[in-house]
Amino acid sequence: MTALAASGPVTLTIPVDPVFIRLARLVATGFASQMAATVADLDDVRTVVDELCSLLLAQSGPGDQITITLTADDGVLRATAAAPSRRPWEPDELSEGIVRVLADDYRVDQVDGHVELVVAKSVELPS
Amino acid sequence: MEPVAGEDLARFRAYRDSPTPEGRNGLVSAHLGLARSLARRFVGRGEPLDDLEQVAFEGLVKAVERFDPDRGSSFAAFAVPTVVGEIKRHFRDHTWATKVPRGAKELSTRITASTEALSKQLHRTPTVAELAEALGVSDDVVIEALEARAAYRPGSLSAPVDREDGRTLGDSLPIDDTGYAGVEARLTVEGLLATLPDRERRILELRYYEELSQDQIAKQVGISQMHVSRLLRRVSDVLAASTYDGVP
Repeated sequence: MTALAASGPVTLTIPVDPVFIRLARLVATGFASQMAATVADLDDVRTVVDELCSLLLAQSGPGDQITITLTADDGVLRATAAAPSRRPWEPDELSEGIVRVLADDYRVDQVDGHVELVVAKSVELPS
Repeated sequence: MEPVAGEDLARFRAYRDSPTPEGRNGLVSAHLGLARSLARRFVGRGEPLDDLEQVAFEGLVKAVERFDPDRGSSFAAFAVPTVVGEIKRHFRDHTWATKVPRGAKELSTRITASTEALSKQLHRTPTVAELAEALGVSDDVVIEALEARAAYRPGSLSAPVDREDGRTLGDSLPIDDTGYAGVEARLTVEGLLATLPDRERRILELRYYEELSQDQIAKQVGISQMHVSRLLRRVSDVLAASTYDGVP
């Protein structure tokens, strides 16, 4: 497979339901695999997306949706996970800690009743 | 995650001022749940949970020894990077660097062979769960290997077939969505799991989600390994039949 220098955006919207997190993980790893990411990075991307969705699940309510947007640019994968914010942002410290360790950059944006979790991760491309 | 209480910080201060094995062990014991929780996040990457927990515990010990209770952060905030770093090092040193590339190729080959064999046996293509059972790996590992197969396609797929727009043979082929089909199968199976008796469902969860061996499941559930094997086979057959009969 040829590594893609830039790609996306790929957008996935899922109901706020833990059963769909697996789908989000799969799409994210599939996207990262299009960048020819290594197995290690694929695993990290999978875990990061899992934690992002878990963080938003705790923040949302029934009927809400989580939208995940993936882009790739110059070996950096960026993922944005957004959902309505039904309560003050009180993230799970463990989940955020894992995201911070596995991603290169992580930030939380709160706009108009929505919370957006944005991560960037450099993907090691096999030589 | 529970915030670190003042009493806990006091214990860390006491340990820093007078480090003893007993003090260290007490602090480690108090935070084993954190290490276990982190280890579970990395299940499915090809290493048994027991091994991951061991590595996480080692990271926890290091975190306990290095934590400064007067620097303003909670122990958890300090420990997560330390423990996760230890787990990632473990994968890098013991798994990713040596096993995965070769293992992925081997698994891909075995999946192809098993798919052919099971297709003849079942008169249909196997589910991800069936492949996983036949290969002795988890569903996720099979899905990953299916996805990874694209990386091992022959280079000739990159040869241009259209000189004008540069399209390649690979571009003209249908997208290999076997992994996505596998996930669909798995999601269906998960719905069917809810219809099983508690013990059978628990056994399947232990096998495929917590990746315990049949021996470990037998000890946990209190039945023989042979009994576990028979139950897994029977339940898999029932689920597979239900899936293909269109039973929700």
